[in-house]
Amino acid sequence: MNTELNYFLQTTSNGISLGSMYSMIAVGYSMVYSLLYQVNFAHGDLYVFGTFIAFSFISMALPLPVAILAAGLLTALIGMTIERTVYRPVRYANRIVPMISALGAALVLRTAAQIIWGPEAIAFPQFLPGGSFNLGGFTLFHKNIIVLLFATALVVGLTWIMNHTKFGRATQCIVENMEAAQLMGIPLNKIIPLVYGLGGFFGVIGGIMYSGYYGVISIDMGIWGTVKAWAAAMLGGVGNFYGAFLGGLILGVSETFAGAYISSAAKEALGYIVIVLVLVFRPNGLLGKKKVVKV
Amino acid sequence: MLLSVENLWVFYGPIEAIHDVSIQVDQGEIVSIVGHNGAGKSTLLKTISCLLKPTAGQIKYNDGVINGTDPDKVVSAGISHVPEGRQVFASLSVYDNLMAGAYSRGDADGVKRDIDMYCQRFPILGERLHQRAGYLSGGEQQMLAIARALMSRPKILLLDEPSLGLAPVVVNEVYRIIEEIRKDGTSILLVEQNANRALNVSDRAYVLASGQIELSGTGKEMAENDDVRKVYLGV
Ligand SMILES: Nc1ncnc2c1ncn2[C@@H]1O[C@H](COP(=O)(O)OP(=O)(O)OP(=O)(O)O)[C@@H](O)[C@H]1O
Ligand SMILES: [Mg+2]
Repeated sequence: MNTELNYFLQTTSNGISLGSMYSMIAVGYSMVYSLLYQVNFAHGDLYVFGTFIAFSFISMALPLPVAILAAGLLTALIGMTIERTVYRPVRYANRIVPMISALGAALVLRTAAQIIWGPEAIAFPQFLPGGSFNLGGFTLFHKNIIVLLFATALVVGLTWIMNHTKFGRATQCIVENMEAAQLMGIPLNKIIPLVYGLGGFFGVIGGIMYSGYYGVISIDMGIWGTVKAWAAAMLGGVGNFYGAFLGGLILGVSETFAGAYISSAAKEALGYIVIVLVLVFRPNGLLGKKKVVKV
Repeated sequence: MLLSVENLWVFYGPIEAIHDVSIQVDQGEIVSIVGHNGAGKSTLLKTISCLLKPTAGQIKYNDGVINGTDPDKVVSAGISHVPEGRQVFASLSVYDNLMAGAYSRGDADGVKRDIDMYCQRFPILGERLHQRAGYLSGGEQQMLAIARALMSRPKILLLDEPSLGLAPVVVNEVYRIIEEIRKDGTSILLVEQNANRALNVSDRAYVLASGQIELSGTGKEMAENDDVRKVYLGV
C-alpha cells in the first residue's frame, strides 16, 4: 500500500480511538451539563480521581472488571457528595456561584490526588488486548475497535436509560422545568444526586479507557479533560448524548489530523478553537436543542 | 376540613407577599381566590405546594401539618397543582407529560388505564399522544396540564389562572371540565383574575388584595357584592 494512504488510514483510526475516549468522557459530562447548563469544572478532576482509584485497585491485583466497577461506584459516590456539598447549597443562586464552588471542589480533588498518588505522571496498566489486523500494510489494532464499541455501547445505553426508565424521564422533566417537575412529585434531591453519580461513573469509564489505551495517568488530565469534554459536548449539542458522542469523535479525529499533518501545537490548540467557534456560531451545537439560558 | 391555611405569612426576601392569610377548603368544594395582578395568588398556591416556605403560619391537610415538607410529599399526600401558564414539558411527548404526572404512583396498570381514560375525555390528547407537547395550542396545553395534574389522583386540585390567555369558547370548555372534576369527587382551589367565571362555579370565594384577604363569602354572595362587582367584575 502507498505510504501516504497508509499514514492517512492510521491517522484516521488513531483519531477515531481518541475521539471514542473523548466521547465517553463527554457523555458523562453532558448528563450533568444538561442540568447545570454551564461548565462543570469538577468533572475532569472527578473522573481523573476515579481513574487513579482504578489504578490503585488494579495495582492491588483486583480482577479488572471488579476494579473498574468499584472505581466507578466510588466515583459516583464522590460525584453525589459534590452535588450535596458544592452544588445543592447554591442551586438557586446566580449562575456564577455554582461555577466557582465547582472550581473549589476541583481544587480539593486535585490536591487530594496529588497527596495520595504524587504529582508525577505514572504508568497505567495497558489492559486493552494488544492484537491487530493487518489490512494490506495498514494495521488496525483490536483496541481501536474495542474503544469505539465501548463508546457506542455507552451512548446507546445512557440514551436508553434517559428515555425508558422512570429515573431518565424524571431527569428530562427536571432539565426542562425544575419547578413543574417538583409539582409532578419528582423528588429533586433524589434524582439530581443520581445524575451527578451517573455522570461521574461514566466519566471514569472514559478515563480508565483513556489511561488503559495510552498507558499513562496524570493529574493534569483533569483540567484537560474538562476542556475536551466541554468542547465535545458543546460541539455536539448540550443535553444530547448522541451529540456529545459525535462531538467527541469529531474533536478526536480533527485533533489527530492536526497533530499528524500540521504540528502538535495545532493539536493542543484545537479543543479551545472548537469551543470558541461553537460558542460564536452555533451556541446550541450540531444536534442541540434550543434552550433559553437563565442569567 | 380537607385543607386549611392558618395565619400564613410569606416573604420574598424583604418583600412581603402574603400577609396573615387564612383560608379553608372542605371536601367536595370549589373554592376560588380572586385578585388583581401581584395580589399574591400564585404565591399562596406555591406555598401550599411547598415550593415556597412560609415565614409564619400553618398549612394543614387532613389535619396534618404539611408546610416544611418537600413538594413531592405534598403530591403523594393528594395535593396536585396546575401552575400558572400551564408549564407543560414542551419538548416531551404528551404521553411523557402524562407519565410525569403519575410519577408518585406505583400502579403501572392503573396509570395505563388513566392515560386511556384521559385520552377519551380529552380526544385531542389521544390524537397527539406521541407528539411534542410544545406543538399543542394554548387551550390544548391547558387540558394537558390539567390531565397531567390529575394523573396523581389528587384529593384536591390547585388551579392557577386556568383561563389565562384563552379564547372564550376554550374558557367555557375549561370551566366545564372543572365542574366535572368536582363531580368526580376532587376538591378544587381555583385562583383567577377573571373573577366572573370563577365566582359562578364556586361554593365559596375569597378576595385577595396586596397579600391580604379582603372579603370572603359564598360564590353567589360575592358575585352580587357591589364592591366585588365594581372592582373585580368591571360592572
Ligand atoms: N420570585 C419572586 N421574587 C420576588 N418577588 C416576587 C417573586 N414572585 C412574586 N413576587 C412578588 O410577590 C407579589 C405576589 O406575586 P404573585 O405572583 O403571587 O401574584 P399573583 O396574584 O399570582 O399575580 P398574577 O395575577 O399576575 O399572577 C408580587 O408583588 C410579586 O412582585
Ligand atoms: Mg399568579
